[in-house]
Amino acid sequence: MSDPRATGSARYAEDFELPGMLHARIVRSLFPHARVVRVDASAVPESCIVLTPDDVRDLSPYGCQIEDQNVLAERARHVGDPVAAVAAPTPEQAEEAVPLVEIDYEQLPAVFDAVEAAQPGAPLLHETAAAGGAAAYFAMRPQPGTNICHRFRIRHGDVDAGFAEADAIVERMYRIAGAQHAHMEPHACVAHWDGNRLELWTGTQTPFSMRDDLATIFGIPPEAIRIVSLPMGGSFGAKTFVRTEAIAAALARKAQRPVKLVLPRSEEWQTLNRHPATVTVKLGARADGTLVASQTTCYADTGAYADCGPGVAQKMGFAAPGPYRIPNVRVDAYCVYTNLAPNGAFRGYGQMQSTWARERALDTLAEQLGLDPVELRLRNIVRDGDVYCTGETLHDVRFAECLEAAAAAVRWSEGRRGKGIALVMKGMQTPSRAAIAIERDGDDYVLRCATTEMGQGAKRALSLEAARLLGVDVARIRFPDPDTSLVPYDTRTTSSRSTYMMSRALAEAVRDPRGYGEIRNEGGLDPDTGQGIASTHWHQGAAAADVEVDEETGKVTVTHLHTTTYAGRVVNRLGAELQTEGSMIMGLGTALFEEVAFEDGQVINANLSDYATPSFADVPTRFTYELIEEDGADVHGLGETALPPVPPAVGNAVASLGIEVDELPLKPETVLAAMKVRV
Amino acid sequence: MELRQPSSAEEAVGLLGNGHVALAGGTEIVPLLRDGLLRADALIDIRRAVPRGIHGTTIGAGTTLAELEVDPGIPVVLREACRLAASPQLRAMGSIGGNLLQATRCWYWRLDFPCYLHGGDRCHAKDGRHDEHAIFGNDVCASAHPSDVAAALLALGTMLRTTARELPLAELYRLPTTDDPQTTTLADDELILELEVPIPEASVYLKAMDRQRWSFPIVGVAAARTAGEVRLGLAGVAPVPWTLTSVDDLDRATPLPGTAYKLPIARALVARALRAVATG
Repeated sequence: MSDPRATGSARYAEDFELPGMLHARIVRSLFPHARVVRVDASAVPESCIVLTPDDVRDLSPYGCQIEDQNVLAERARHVGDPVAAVAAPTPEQAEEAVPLVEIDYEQLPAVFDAVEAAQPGAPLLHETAAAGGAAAYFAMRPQPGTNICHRFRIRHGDVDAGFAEADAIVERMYRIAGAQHAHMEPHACVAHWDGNRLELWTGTQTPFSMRDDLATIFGIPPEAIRIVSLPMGGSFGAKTFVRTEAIAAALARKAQRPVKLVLPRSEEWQTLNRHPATVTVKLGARADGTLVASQTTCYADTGAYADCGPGVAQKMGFAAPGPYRIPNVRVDAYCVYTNLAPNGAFRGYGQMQSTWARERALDTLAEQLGLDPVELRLRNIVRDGDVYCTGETLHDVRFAECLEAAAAAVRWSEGRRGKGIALVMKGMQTPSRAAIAIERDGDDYVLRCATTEMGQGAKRALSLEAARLLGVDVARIRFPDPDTSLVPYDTRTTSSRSTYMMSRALAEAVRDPRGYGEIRNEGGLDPDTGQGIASTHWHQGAAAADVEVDEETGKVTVTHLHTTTYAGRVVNRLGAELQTEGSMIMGLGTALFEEVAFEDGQVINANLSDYATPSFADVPTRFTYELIEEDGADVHGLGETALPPVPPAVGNAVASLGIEVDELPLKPETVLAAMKVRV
Repeated sequence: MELRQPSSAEEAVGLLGNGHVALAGGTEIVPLLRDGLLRADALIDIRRAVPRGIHGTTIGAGTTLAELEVDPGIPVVLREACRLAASPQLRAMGSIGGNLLQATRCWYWRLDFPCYLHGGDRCHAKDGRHDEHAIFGNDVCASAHPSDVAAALLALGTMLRTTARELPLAELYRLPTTDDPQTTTLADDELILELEVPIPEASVYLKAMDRQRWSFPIVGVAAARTAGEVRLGLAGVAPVPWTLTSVDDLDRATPLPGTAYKLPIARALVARALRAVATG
C-alpha cells in the first residue's frame, strides 16, 4: 500500500510552510451583536503584527453570493466574528497575544432563530448589502427592511384549487438542527505577497471562486492572484469560498512576510456550520393516493453572513417537492440572517433539510389515507420524460427502481413495523463550467484542472478515466495540485459535479489535438417563479431503515440501514462504494445525535467530546447498499446522494411505531417528547 | 512547563501542591491545560509513584481502563463502565484514579463562565440551556459528573487508600457550596494509591448515551449485589457521582425543566439494573 495518505507521507494544507513565515490567530467577538468601539493592541509584544479594523478599511467587503462581510468586523454579528488578528514568530506566541488585544464593545440586540428573524421588527443584521460575489449564479431577491437576504419561489399550477380537490391533507412543521462538518484537518492556509501579486496555498474546494473574491477584496486583477489548492484532510463543504484566507493575506500584506493561519478546532464551529432549518410542508391527495398539491415554506438560518446561503435556500426550495408527479406546487424558501455563526455548504446542500420534511410528511399522509408508504410513493413517482415543477423534462429516471430495491432490502413486504423508507432527488450545480488540459511529459500525461482533492477520490477517479480514454496504464497519469496560474477555469469542486463534469471535459480533451476540453451546462431558475432548469443532471437515491426504539429511554437503535443509488456508469468502483458508505454514516449522525447547540448565540458544544459524530460502533449491524449501474449511461457524482434520504428513512421507521418525530436529531429527549403526544 | 518524574509516592507528595499538578494518563489534564481551565507551573508525572495493576480485590490507581475492562477477575459492572467510558485510545491511556477526578462537562464551566465552580456567584446552566445537567444535588451547581467508573465503584462499595488516609469512595466527593467550589475532598498534595473493590454476587452497568460508545452519560446506572445487599450508583445525574439508597430516592429528584427527561430514563435503567442483579 503506497497511498501517501495511508503511509502518512501525504502533505496537507496544514503542513505547508514558507521560510520566514509568521503564525496567525484570530481575535474574535465575545458578543453575538456588538459595535466595536475601541481596539487597543498596545499590550501586544513588538515581535507580533496586529491587524485591526483600521488596517483593512481600504479593503472591499466580500461574500460569494452577497458582499456583506468585511475582512474584520467593526460591527460584530456573531460570537466569534473576527475583530482583529495577530501574527507572531511561533503559533504559541500568537496564541498568547490574543488575550492582550483589548476590545471595547457596545452591545446591540440580537436574534437567534430564523423564523423570528424574518419577522418585521426583528433586530436587523445588515441594512444594505450588495449581491454579486463570485458564486452569485442566480438573481438575488433580498427583502428590504428585513433579515431575508434571498427569497426563492416555485409557482406551478394552482395549489389552492389542488387542496380544494384533496380528500386528505397533512400540514406539519419540521426542524433540523445545525451540524458541524468535523473534517479531520482544520482550515489552514499560507499567504504570501510578491510585490502586488498574492500567492495563497490553502485547502479549498473553490480555488477560482476564492481567487475572484480575493481580487474584489484587495482591488487587484484576478490574474494577480495565484491559488494553490492543497489536498484537504476532509472538507464536506466547509472549505469553500473565503474562510481564513482574506485575514491571512491582509496580515501578510501588513507584515511583509508570509503568514500561516490554522484554525484551532473550537473555532471551526465559529467559522461555518450547516444551516438549521424550519420547513413546513402541506400535502394534499385524493383518496386513492394521487397527490394533487404540495406547498412548502423553508426558513434557512444562514447566520451572520449570507455566504452561499441563498444557494442553499434555493436548493432546499427546488428539491422540496421531490421526485413525485404533483400538478400544483408552491414553494417559498427564505434565506435569513441571524446572530449565529455563518452557515454554508454542507454535504447534501439544502436537500438534507427539505428531504427530511417532505419524506416525513408523505408517511404521515400515507397513514391518514390508510396506504402503504411505498405504495403511495410508487403511485406518484416521476417516470422518464415527466416534467418537473420547474418546467424541465427529466431523463434517465430511476426512482421507482431505487425505491423498490430499497424496500426489498429491508423485506418491506414481510411487515413494516419499525421500518422506514425515503427518496432523494438532488440537484447538481447549474449552470457551471469545467475545463481540463492534458500535457505530455515524456511517457507521462499530466492533467491540468481545478478539481480539488478532499479525500473524496477525485484524483483517482479522473486518473482512471484518463487512463481508460488514453489507453495507457494509470501509473502514467499525473495529477498535480490545482494551481490557478496553471489550470483552466472550473466552477468549483462541489455538488458532486466533478466526476460527471470533468470527465466529460476530459473526453473532449482526449479528442482535441491540443489536448484541451471544456464543458458547460447551461440553465438556472427564475427566483420568482422557480421556472427554468434547476439541474441538468439529477442524483437519484433511496434509503431504507429498520429500527428499534427503547420506549422507556427513548433510545433509537438502527439495526439495518440500506441505500440504493442510481450510479449510471461507474468510473471507480471502490471510490463509489466508499463515498456511499461515508454518506450513510454521516446521515446517521444527523439522524441520531449531531447538533450544534447554542446558548445566547454561543456554540456550547464546540469540541469533539461534546459534539458527537458517529463512531464505527454506531454503524448498524446490517449496513448494506447497492449502486445501480448502467453501461453507456452518464457518469453520476456519488459524493452526497446516499446522505439526505437516511434521516427521513430512520424518522419514518420510528414513526411506524407510532412515534411522530418532526425534529432532528432523534435524541432520547426528542423521542420521549414525541411519545408524550402519541395518539 | 517543567515535568518532574518522582519514583515514589512520598517523593511525589513532596512535589505536589503550589501549582504542581499530578499527571498520569493525561487524558483529562492535558485538555484542561490546553483549554486554559487548569493552570500548572509544573507537571508531576506520577506513573512511577502510583501502583498499577490488579492484585485480587486491590486495584492500583494507575491501572488503565483498558487493563480493567479485559480482566476476568474484575466485576462486570466495572468492566462495562470502563468499556463504555471512552474511545479505545483514551481507555488505553486513562487511569482509574484519574477517572474518579474528572472535571464536569458542564458547557458553561468549560467556556469559563463565572459560575460557582469558577468562584462566581451563580449557576449559568439554570438560566440557560441545560439538557445535559443534573436531576439530583443541583441546589447550588447543576452540573453533571461524567464518571461511569465512579458510579460502578460506588455500587461496589469501594474503599480508597490515599497517601493520607483510607476512606469510602463516597467520601471522596462533596457537593459544591456557594462558598467552596470543590467537588472532591482530595488535598492538593494527596494521591489516590489503591482501590479495594469487593467482589459482588452480581453486578451490571447500564448507560443511556448519544453514541454506542464514547459519549458522556445522559444517565448511567450501576448496580451490585454484595452479601445480599444491592447498592446503586449513578453517573450523569448530579454534580458528583450519586448514590441511590433506595428506588424511592428517585421520587426526591429535583430536575430542571431541561433535564426532566432524564428522570424516566433513570427510573427505567434502575428498574432494569435491579432485575439484572436480583438473579445471576
